[in-house]
Amino acid sequence: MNIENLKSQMRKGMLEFCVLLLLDKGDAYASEIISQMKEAHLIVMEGTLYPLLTRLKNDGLLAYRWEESPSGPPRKYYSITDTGRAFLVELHKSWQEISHTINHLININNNNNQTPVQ
Amino acid sequence: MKKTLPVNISGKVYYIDEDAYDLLKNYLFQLRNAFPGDEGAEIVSDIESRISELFEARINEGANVITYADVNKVIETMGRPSDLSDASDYDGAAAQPGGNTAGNAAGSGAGVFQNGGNDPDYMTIKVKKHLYRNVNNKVFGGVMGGLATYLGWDATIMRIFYVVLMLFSYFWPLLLIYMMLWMVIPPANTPLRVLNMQGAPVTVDNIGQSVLSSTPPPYQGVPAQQSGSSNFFATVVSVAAKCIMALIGMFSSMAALALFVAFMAVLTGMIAYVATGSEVILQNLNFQMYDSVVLGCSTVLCALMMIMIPCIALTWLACCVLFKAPSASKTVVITGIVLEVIFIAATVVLGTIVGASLSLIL
Repeated sequence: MNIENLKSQMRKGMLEFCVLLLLDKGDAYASEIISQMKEAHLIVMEGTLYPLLTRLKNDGLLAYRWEESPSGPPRKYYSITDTGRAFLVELHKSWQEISHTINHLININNNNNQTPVQ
Repeated sequence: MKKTLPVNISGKVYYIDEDAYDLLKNYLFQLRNAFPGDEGAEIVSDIESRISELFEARINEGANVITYADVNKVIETMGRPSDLSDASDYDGAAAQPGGNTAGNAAGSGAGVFQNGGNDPDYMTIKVKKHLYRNVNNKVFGGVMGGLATYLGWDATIMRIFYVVLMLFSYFWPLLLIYMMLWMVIPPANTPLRVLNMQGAPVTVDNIGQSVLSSTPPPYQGVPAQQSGSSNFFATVVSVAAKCIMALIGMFSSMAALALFVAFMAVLTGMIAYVATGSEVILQNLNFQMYDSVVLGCSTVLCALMMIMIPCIALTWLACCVLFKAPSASKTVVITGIVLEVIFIAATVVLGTIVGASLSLIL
């Protein structure tokens, strides 16, 4: 049983949720999304975000438009679509359920053993 | 001093060192192959425009030229292909900074690597090998090379086996089968096909192992897709040339072998004669004059060598053309020519002497 593998399995799928959450607060272009996610320690390798954005866009969860930038190449601004919002609501629900269940289990554990879990 | 090239990345022009250019080109090329199709083109184009931004930032910092180190740094930032598919490094780092709740949030992003870097389809499905002609390992059309790769056997052994089989089966049927396979099986002429042929999953990982190393990727030797009648004609000509070379090589190698056997026979006979002084051994030969037996044998040996050297040279040449054998070095060629000249001269001189003494006796 590889703990690292298990961890990544656990985290799989969370990133879409994070991207949708970020874009729900306002439109952003890839570099902005990257910098915000980096701040939150969500990603280290920037290259990982692009396939994800493209997939979300092709699935109709995101839309984009081009905007000229004052310096550098034109920017691709992503925005969340209605489908994306619906998706986000579903994901949010699901997250709360999982979070609730896990917290519940942790609390049972705490009450039984009287040792807080790190 | 370094050569610098102007490159256009997402509509912005940057001056970039030549080595940095090669590295970047390699990186983008391999990314492009990692993300196939239209979607892949879009992903790579997005990544390119991000790279352009990073370069822009570098220029704003005061740099005039994008250097190798800059490109390396960009690749580190974007993700070395091997890192993109291997989350273990990051998991360790990500687990530390956060406590209970922060760690949870930070951790949830670590899966990015599994999710974003690779298409999950490519990761989970064990890729089946596809049959392609192995153009990187070919004698004629790469059919045997492709089959060998497909079956996981050794190409050379397969070729020998096939040729032997061909010789034992009236030659033509298997030749026709080969021709048909050649026409039917597509060539592995793109990196994607090469990976499919090897049964390697198409991930950023395995195409990208060589991005940062200076060694060229294994498929760099693959020529760009060729099509059209002119190429077909060229192929036909080169195949015909190869066939002729194969025939020449076959005959010359057989001749060389026969000559070698004859040489050894004559040499053995001569040594036996000199050692024993026996006349019995040579009674079957047509030499009437025993005193000049050694002289006669030497003449024959020189003559044999004289013919054998060109045969060996032809065989080697055929091997060079067909099997990409290492071509002969200058020294070998010169030595061969000198030996050939010596043997011709020796044959002529010895032949004259033998002839003269024969005519004297007769």
